[in-house]
Amino acid sequence: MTTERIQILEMLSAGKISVAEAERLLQLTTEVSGRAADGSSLPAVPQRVADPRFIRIIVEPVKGTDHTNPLHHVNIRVPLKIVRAGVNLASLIPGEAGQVVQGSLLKTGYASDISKLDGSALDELIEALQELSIDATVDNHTVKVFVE
Amino acid sequence: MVMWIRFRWFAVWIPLFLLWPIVLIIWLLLLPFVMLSMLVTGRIARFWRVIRLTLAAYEMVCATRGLRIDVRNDRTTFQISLI
Repeated sequence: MTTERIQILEMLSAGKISVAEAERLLQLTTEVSGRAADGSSLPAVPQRVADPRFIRIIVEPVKGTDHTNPLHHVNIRVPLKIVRAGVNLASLIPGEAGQVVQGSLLKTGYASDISKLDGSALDELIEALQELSIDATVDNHTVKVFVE
Repeated sequence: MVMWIRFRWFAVWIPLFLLWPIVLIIWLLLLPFVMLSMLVTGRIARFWRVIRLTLAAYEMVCATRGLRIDVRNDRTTFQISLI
């Protein structure tokens, strides 16, 4: 057990911090040690998040490789509330306008019918997102997609 | 809610919370005209849909809180965050 973790547990037992704060601090120390272990500055990809609030997309160039193309740094955090609000908004789009939206989505390769996405399907989608974890290397860049 | 937009050479800070009262006043001013026009054209049933659509659009804007997009490369820097 690391010194930081012992300190957190001592603070918890002394009543200086709450259980929720201790959990958060312990999670942070795990993330930091994970980063130190793989030698990258990227956050560790969590395995499963019970109550996901954000989708994170991080792209960083791989260290120590010869880059001939431009280096890209991307850090995107999208609140999951947008998905729920978007479905509510989409359900109110009138028929003709909905067909135009559906046509545009088809052109971009999204073949699903958004008008059929109701509350229960959305809950299933968000539940499935709890295990979303993509960690790949593409064109000398590390790509991480996960929920937090 | 506050929006930050940063480019390579400058940054813009937009206090969205100051815009809400203005948007509300404009919306309330327009509402009677929208209702009247729908009454005249016989589409009053759609009036409630307009109300719900407006509320859903507001919910969508509120849901963007916490959004952060940060894109950088050798030539470009772009960052937008809603806090």
